[in-house]
Amino acid sequence: MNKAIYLVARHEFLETVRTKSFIFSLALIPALLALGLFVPGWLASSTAVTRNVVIVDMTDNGTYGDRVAQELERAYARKALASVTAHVRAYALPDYKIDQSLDAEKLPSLLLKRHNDFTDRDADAFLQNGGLTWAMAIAMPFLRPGSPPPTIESKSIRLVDLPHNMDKAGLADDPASLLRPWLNGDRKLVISGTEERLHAAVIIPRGTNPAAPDSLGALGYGSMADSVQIWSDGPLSDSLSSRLPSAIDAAFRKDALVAAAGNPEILDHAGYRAPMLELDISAPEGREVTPADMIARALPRILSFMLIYFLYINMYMLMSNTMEEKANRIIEVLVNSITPNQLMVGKLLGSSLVALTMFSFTVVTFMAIMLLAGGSMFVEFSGVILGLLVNTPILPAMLVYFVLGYFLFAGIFLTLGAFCETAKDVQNLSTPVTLLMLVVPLVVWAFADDPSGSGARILSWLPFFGPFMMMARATSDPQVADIAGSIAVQILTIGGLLWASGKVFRIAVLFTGKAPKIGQLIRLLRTGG
Amino acid sequence: MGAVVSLSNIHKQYGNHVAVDDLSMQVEAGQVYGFLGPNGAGKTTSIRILLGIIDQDSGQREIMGHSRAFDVARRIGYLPEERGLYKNMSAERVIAYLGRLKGMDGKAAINRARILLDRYGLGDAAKKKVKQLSKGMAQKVQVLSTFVHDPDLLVLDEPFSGLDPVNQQILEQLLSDMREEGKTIIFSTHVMQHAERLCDRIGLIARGRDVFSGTVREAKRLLTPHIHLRTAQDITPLKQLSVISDVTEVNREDTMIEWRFEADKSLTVERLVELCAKNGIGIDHFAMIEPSLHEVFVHLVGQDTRQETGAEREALS
Repeated sequence: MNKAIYLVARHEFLETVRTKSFIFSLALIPALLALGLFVPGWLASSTAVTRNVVIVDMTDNGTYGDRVAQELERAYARKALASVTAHVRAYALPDYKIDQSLDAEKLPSLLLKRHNDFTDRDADAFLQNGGLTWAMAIAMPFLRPGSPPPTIESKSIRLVDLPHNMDKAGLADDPASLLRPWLNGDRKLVISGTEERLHAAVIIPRGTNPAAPDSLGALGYGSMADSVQIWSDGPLSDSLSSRLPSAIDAAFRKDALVAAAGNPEILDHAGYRAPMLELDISAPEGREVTPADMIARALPRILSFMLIYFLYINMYMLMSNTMEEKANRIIEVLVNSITPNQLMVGKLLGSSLVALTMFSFTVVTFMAIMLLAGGSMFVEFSGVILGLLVNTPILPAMLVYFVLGYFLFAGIFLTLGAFCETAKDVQNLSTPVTLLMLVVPLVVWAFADDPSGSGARILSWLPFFGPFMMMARATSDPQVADIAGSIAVQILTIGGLLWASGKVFRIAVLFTGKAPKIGQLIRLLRTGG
Repeated sequence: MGAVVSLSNIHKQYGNHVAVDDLSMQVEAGQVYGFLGPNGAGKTTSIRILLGIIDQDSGQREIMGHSRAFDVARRIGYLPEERGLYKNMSAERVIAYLGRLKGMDGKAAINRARILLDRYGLGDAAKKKVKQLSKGMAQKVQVLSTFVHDPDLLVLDEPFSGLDPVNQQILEQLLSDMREEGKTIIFSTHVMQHAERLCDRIGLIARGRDVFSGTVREAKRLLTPHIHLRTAQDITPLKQLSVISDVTEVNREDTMIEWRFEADKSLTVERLVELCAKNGIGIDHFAMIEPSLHEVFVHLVGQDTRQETGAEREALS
């Protein structure tokens, strides 16, 4: 390599990786990854607020209130059971696993289920037999010794009694006035000696009945007298809106079903399903699609997204560094010693090594975190993701497409940076390319669901889109022609861009004053500066 | 000795603004050449053209026998007008890095950087980051980095600007040392005292045009010397002579008045003394003081010194 290019690249690399900010960024990567992967779940479970809800049933037989309460309990039980079975999938002894999946022949069916698979009977068994203790007693024989305990979310809804001095009959006539002081927090409930707020009130008026599918009531156009009223201070919080209406709905639907059938056993039949297998023809005799396959399909798309945002961070760094050299005039000394082209290529190579260092560190850290992951809901997938990274072309693809993506954008950002003398210039000049970088992943995402479709194939061959589209297709066995063609197109584009960048860079490094407008830039290019 | 640098009829224009207009200059080997002119006169543009950083629209340039300075870049040290260094690098590493870009071996560059820093009083700052140095120290580091590779030609654009008097003196010493070593030095300035003390030849430009080229002595001969005369007598007879002009009183002590005036070149000292004696003017003190380069500069540049508009910068931007 030309010695001047080597010296500039070496300088660019060493002077960046030695800075405190770079070392700090590296140290921040594991922290941020852990934060992104585990903290949201941990925060959700450890800081979950319990919402106090009162259910007032004014119907003649007065059973709907109890049934809504029962459905809420069942919803909680299903969630807890799902956490236990996810835990079993993550920590099952090797004897009970085939590849990444549980061995269905050796485990009780309860432990093979996922959230939507649990029936009312499962939920009731959980609630009646001691909850988590009961579920873990079933799971324990199949778990590796020393496995951490599962993380179970606490109940997010607490059903409370109607405040003792509230006129239940009056609620039918003027619910808003009676509930307002309680729901807006002026008046508090006393629960186990502490004052708490009432978050929602469910009023089931006397004339409420299950509504036929096409009736006004079912469509949300019923009257106050014959519709279940859910009162709160503003829109329902997420935890209430995701559970309360569905619990009420389930209670009424099941009531209608039993009434029509004249037999409660009908509810068991309502849970019947078609036995199905989702199969993949990639194996000689076909094979069942596993959750690992789903992850294998989704992971490249997610990584494609990450790739471009990771590139953006590096591009901004590259542009700011160049701006700094320009602003402190050292660039003029440099171009007296070496050619602008040597300077540009050296800076590109050096900064690409910086980016590659950060990128490799991130990948290794990510894999280490996967390896060490434990005690979280995410743990179920860590083995699958690790397996994918090791056994599929994802990692080499990431490396190739990262390098291609880097050089596609780096020449542009470097040249723009050479026109800048202030951070404001950097922001102004980088905006159009930044917008392109924002649009690319959105377009790629839209086509990624059909990775072998014509849309995805066309995008793979387009400059700028190619590396990210191909990344998103990494585990979908893209055609060799697409791989070769896409890489060739990107390399040609890079060559063209670097050639043009070199021409502009030569002018840009010695350009003083405000960043040029497009017209001025074209004029400069025409006159050679 | 042959010309190390030669510019012939150089013309450079930015839009409608003429930055350099038909400029010619020659610098011989071993000379210290002062490139003088007011702000915006075109000094920096000329230096950039000379070094091949930008190209001229027309005219010829030759540096060490080449038309492209880049061909002899390793023999040239350049200090740009607006200065900066890598703030997070240590003084010795930044000097060594710039030396390496000029072709030095890594070890030789760092050794030479240490020697230079020691010699010019920055030995203790060698390991310090540039951002930890005072402005004056950082400027010295930058100056040292221009000749770390032992160039034959030094081109310094406003090297004294921003330096305090002590550091200006150190830099003058440093340039004198370079001259002793036989280096050719070109530096631009608008502070005439430095040029007066250091330069063998000067070139004065205004509005991009060549105004004067020659030695300092030749420049001073462009103006008549001042005469200082202290006497107790009335000098009215002298004032009435057509060969004497600009008579001003510069000092008065008791009955003694010190006058300053300009005399026509045809008026010799002997003739003036004769005239004084003839008119009964006793001479207590008499001195003939040659004009300073500053006065020559103001005289030649005239209006241009009061029109420091930075037109060149505007045109560039």
